[in-house]
Amino acid sequence: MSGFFAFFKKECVSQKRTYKWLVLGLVFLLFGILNPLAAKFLPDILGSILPGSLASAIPESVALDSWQQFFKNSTQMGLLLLAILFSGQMSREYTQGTLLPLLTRGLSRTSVVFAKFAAAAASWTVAYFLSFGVTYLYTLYFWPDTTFTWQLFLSVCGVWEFGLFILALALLGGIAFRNSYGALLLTGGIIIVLFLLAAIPAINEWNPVVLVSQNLGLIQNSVACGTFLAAGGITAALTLLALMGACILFKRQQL
Amino acid sequence: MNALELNGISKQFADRPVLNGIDLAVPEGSVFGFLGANGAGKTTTMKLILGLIKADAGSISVFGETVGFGRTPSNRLIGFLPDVPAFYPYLRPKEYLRLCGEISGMPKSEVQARSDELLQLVGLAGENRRIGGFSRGMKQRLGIAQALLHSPRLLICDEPTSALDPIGRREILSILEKVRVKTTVLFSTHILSDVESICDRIAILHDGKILESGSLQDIKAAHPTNSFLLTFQTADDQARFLAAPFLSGSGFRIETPDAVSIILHTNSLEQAELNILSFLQQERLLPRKMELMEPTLERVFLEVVR
Repeated sequence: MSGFFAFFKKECVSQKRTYKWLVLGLVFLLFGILNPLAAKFLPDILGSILPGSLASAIPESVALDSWQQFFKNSTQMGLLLLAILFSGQMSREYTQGTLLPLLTRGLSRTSVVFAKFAAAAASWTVAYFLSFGVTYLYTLYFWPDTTFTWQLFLSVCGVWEFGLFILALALLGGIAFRNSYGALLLTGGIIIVLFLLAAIPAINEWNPVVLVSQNLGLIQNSVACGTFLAAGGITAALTLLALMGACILFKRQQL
Repeated sequence: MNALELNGISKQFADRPVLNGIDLAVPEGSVFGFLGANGAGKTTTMKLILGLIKADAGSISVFGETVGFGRTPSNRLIGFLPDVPAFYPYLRPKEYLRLCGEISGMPKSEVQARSDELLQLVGLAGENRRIGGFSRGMKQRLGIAQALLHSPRLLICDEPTSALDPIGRREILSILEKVRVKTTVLFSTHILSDVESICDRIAILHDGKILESGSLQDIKAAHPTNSFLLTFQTADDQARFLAAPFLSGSGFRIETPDAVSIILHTNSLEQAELNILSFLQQERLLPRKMELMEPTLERVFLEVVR
């Protein structure tokens, strides 16, 4: 375990000094500020631009609009940024040979995989929940009658879990292909396949993409909580499977 | 006791054989030069010793402990310096050594003390810049510090001087000379002068096989030279000697490294000696120096791999 903690600390320093924390933190902070602002003022801005009859048809903004912005930004730009930022973390180790002196002094390959995942997951968690916290506070400010429901909490956690799934896929891809393009290709390819599978109703409720596509439905009670939990369970299992696959593959590789 | 033993090791990549049943023994306390041209398989051998790649056949042991791919408890006895040591550029030297120490399971206080001691040894004591700003020589020296951090019994260096300028090379060799007191050193290189300056034993790897292995002196003795070096007082004396009739025979090859010296390579050492001495007496020529030349490692190497 000492190897895991030492390498985890190194990964945290790496993220700080290579500005990953800064980029991730600033982008998600920006999302957090913009989500409620866009929801609150977009109707007014549109109303001032559009002709009177159309302007009067624009509905009054509500708190749900702010959450709509939150989920849209987090699941599109946010997850894309996450995949790009962390797709190169294994390829750099391969190309530069930085792991060799550490592996030869007893660092286990499993520790490398889990420490990299844990450090990336920690950054994602902090950035994402920072964005959520800022969105929540501003939403509460603009719409004081907003209540924090468990459906909202579940929905927010769903996106977070999907982010962890992406990180595990990026790690697996990075080890399988030994470069960042391979990591992005594998991650993107699997996500596309999952979205295509969402067209099959029989397996739809088990599909991890439920976690990033049915968020407002869950908040509005049009999607059953069980569907979300089932998709969450499958996503957790797939994440674990991706990490185990990464460990097995990495252990078999000749460096 | 042998620090390292390789028995019948074979390895091929795809359909290209790299090592073909090599046997090697590195006695404890020696500085062992592992020679071979580029691509001879030196780095592959070192990676096999470290358990980073899998051997197709044969066995390896380090201080009696068997080494296997992925199972390398023996690595706690080894310090490894790769040919181009790669570091995380955003870390400082002490931070990197701390990381290495923690991974090795060393107590914090020991890591601190060893880091200070080793950074002093490699001349990086006051250096607090990030490693990304280091020169190649500085990285090589830091590489030695990390390899020695856990006080290994065997230090494996993969071409530690090949990419360095003469000053950097001299610094690395002097560090290796200092550590040989406590540590067995296996040192791969194709720079033969480096080997001659610090190694007491060598092995020559060529075409996937060990062609020669043993003490440097014994190997040189097994490849005696048939060459004389004559150094004269003046260029005129040199010219007079070059006019000697016996030199026109086919048994001689002549080199003139400078205006007053002559190197004579001959097929028959005794006959040549008689001819030279009688000509010198006859011509009343007194050379400043006449000696039977020591075989150089370069000559031995070329002869062995030919």
